[in-house]
Amino acid sequence: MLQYFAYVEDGYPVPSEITQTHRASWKAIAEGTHHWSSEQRLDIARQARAARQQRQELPFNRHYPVSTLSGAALEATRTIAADAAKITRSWTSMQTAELGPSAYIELVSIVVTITAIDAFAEALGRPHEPLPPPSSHIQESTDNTEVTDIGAYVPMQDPWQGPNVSRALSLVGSANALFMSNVAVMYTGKDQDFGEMVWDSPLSRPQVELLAARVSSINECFY
Amino acid sequence: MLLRESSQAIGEGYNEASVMGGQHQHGVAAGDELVAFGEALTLGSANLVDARDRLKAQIGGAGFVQAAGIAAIFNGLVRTADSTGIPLDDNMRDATEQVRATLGINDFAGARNTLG
Repeated sequence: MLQYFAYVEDGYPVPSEITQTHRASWKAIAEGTHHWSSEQRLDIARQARAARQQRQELPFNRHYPVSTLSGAALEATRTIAADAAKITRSWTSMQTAELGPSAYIELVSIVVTITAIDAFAEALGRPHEPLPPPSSHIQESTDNTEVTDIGAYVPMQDPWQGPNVSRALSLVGSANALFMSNVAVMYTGKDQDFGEMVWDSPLSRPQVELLAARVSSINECFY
Repeated sequence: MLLRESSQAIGEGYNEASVMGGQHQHGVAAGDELVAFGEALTLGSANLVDARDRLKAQIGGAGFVQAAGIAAIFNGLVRTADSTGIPLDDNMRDATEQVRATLGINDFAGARNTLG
């Protein structure tokens, strides 16, 4: 059986917490939900990967794999992956009206997780990991009933314990867990709460902040 | 802004203007290499290989892997913020008022909603 994310075996000194989280993410992305089938979730991942790889091309010059996703799903996936800085409230309203807010959030969680894991591979100088095959397992629905309008484009949990940004995908607990599990391990290399981290990592905090802030600035992300 | 407060809390920091590009003294060890690496990865530039090698030479393998994780996850985090329009919480909005104005961050498209 193919072992995904064999970082150490391939000579990369990646902490085991990151390896295990990336493997768990692949498993979760391949599982269906009541919003998206397994095949659709993998199609979203495939389209997001293709869009991000062509992010420096003008939209009409980009080419994508064949897809059975709806036009709205493709528009949402490709825009978030390659043109996120252009997203507005009205654009998001159109996508959530077409897809439904929970399905939209699940889609976002797949796109941002693929983005982070693919970017990690590129950073290391490693090929993108092959996507997994579809799974027959269906995830339990974890739509959050404790959400409200806090002025965002989508409902979010309020009140919220922890860093504000970690509730962005809180409308669907499993979607939030998929991405935030990666935030926890990729931020320090350890599996610890994003808001409760003990700083004993190789990089100093100013080094981390300089790098993170420059990445955010290039992406023209206000947050 | 997500991270800025924590540096101040431990009495360390960097020149915030350096995150907007151009020639700035950021005052951080291996700062030039970290910035070049983050830029090359985010933009998908051809000089990523060179940026990676220079960063590794400066900070070693463990630091490099952490830098790879940081740069990668923030490419996901920015998309999460942009696609959900999550507003700044009150404390962060107040604490970053000056730096937002100084750096021109309020002009980013995402500021329309994030500022609330």
